Amino acid sequence: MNLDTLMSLSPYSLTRDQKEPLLLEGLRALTEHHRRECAPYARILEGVYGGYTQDAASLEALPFVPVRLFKQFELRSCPQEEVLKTLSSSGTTSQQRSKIYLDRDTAALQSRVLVKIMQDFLGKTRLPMLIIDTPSTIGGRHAFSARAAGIMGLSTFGRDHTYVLDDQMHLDVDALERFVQRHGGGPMLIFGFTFMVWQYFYQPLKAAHRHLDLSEAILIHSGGWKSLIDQAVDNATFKAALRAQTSIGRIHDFYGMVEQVGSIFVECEEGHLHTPLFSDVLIRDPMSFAPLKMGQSGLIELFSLLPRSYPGHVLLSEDLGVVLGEDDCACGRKGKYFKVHGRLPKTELRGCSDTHAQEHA
Amino acid sequence: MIAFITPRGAGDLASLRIENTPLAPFDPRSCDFIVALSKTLREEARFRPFAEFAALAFWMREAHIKQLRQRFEAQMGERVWIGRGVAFHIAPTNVDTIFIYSWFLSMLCGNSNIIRISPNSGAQTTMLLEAVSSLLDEPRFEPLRERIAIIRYGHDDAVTHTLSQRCDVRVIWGGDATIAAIRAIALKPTAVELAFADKFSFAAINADALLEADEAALASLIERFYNDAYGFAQMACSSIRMIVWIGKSAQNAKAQARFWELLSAHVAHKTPPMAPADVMNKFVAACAMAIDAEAPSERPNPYVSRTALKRLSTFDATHHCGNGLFYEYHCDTLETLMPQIGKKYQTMAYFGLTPEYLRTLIRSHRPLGIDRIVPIGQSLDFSDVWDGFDLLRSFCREVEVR
Repeated sequence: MNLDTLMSLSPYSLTRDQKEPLLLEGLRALTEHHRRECAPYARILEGVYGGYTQDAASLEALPFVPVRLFKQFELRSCPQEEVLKTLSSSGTTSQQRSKIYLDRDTAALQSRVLVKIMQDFLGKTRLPMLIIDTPSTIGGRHAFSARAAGIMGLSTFGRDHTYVLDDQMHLDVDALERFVQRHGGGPMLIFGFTFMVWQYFYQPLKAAHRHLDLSEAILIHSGGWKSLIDQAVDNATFKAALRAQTSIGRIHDFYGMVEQVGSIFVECEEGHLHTPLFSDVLIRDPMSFAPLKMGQSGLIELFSLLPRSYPGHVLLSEDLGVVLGEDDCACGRKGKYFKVHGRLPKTELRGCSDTHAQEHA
Repeated sequence: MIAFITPRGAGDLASLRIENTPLAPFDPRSCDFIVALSKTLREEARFRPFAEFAALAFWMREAHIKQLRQRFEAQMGERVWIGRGVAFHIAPTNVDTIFIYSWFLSMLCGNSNIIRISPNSGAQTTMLLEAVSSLLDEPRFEPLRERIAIIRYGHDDAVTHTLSQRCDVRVIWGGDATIAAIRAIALKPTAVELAFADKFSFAAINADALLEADEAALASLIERFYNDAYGFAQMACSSIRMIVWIGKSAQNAKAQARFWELLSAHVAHKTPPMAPADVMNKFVAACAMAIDAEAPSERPNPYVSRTALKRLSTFDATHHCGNGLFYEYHCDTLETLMPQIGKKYQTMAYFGLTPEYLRTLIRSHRPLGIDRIVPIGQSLDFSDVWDGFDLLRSFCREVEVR
């Protein structure tokens, strides 16, 4: 079965028996493709995986690449002149940003997969779309940041795109009210980064004692929980607070990373992140990298059939999580479902040569 | 933010009094202070859990201070060596004991000392500073009080400039980035500077000697190697980060197999403090070395990663993250290695070689680097000769009298 056939299926329709052989076949072929097309990747297979000559019998036997490597090296499996766009991680806390090279085919696949996954949650009709961000995010030098990529990716599912923050991150209450008046009562899509939704949308509304009725709205948000966990806001608190203020009906977090196109894991009605049939996750022990069983927490390894223009089809992330189950979520979607705990804690720098580096970090 | 740990109650730099006239080298009050701190570190229970403090206390013991004095006086002979005046020490953030060695050697020469401590320094530094402050409160050390200023401040070039204009010798620990930043700040024209750059260390193991060693000798080697390589998370300049195997390739292969089997078991048994992030760093380093140096890696367990270098020139710190990452290289004899030794090499820790051979080796080949050659097990011991400087000698000036 090729990728086109997979694309024609509903994204959560295959059970493990059907999905794993397809994934494995595709990922094995991608491994050989990248070995041929990307010299640094071939060197990793040679140096770290002893040449990697076996045919992986399972997902866990596939060679994986640490996600951080995309910050240190240009890893590309297509000629430079075929690069259509270069994605970069937001990189607010680390000095180096990932560089992800997409050619025409990989970029097209990325868009198609996003559509398949989102339509499962949003339906096929374009909804009026409220964006909890500033319009300048998608212009200028930030154009290919993860934030911009998220907004532009989701924008195809909306119409009447309305940004409600100004450059100082102030909520434009007038714009918000006009938007609600235009579409009041009807379904709408709200999109924003988790932290920004909380800080610049929920907080000002709460401070102003403003209650909105957005009960027909669907909120899609992403970007990680780190800064909210620091404020003792977890997913349940986030949802309850937003519902109290705005009556938003459906709230879906999603997890993904710029380094792996196609891996978009949306939170279902049960609060679980789901793997679509183009991608999968596996949990590894953070010390030994040995694969762990369902229910055991560890490093998240991600698989995706999409990355052809760069060797990102099997990545070991620095995120911790746990697989909760497979094929049996109460929401009805097939495939593995999981939870993300957060980032692997960084360790303290030690050594003689740190006086400057550390204080400037 | 600037905080004076000592003198107590000092308010600002302008009113800070520091005596310019040095004491005599090995003034009894200086020696007594060092010995008293050694006693505190050995006797107070809170210092006992830390190996660094035990090593420091041992170095500061009375017998060693006497040895230093005898050697100093023997070398000086009829010549006249006196302290330079005021020394300004810029201490590294995370090797908590270095500032003490630097300060005390300078104090033994008679200098007054200003010590810059980073606001990010660790809990062990704070413990040491508390011990120092309470000793200075004792009446017998009153004469030392106007000769010691310990100042905690961040990256404040104005403060560093003021202190650089007051000192006669500036000592920069903390590596290349710190040296570059501090050197941009002018020093008084008559002052001199000692700078300790980023350096890397390795072990040289004679494969034949390892294969001939009995079980007890091997067990002792493994224990000593472990201490040298895993102390300071393998991130100190003198931490062993590479092993050069010396011998014919068949012998080297046999020696390696034996060594790594024993070391892997020893390390797994010791379970050094290592976090998942350290293991991830080593995995990233292995991939990076595969890409940049075509160097193959293997991982016997989470605590040990091995990377075989094809060329010695790829041994540098760019990808080395410590925490049990070992580069390996082979040569028939150490002689062939010498032309490839650059300025960044600090300590060579050896097994199965003799000091006589090693002295002749260095004298006849004159490599650009390597500042210390010690048996495996002594890499992390501080010495008063460091990075090519005889520190006691460097903290003094010589007055020629004819």
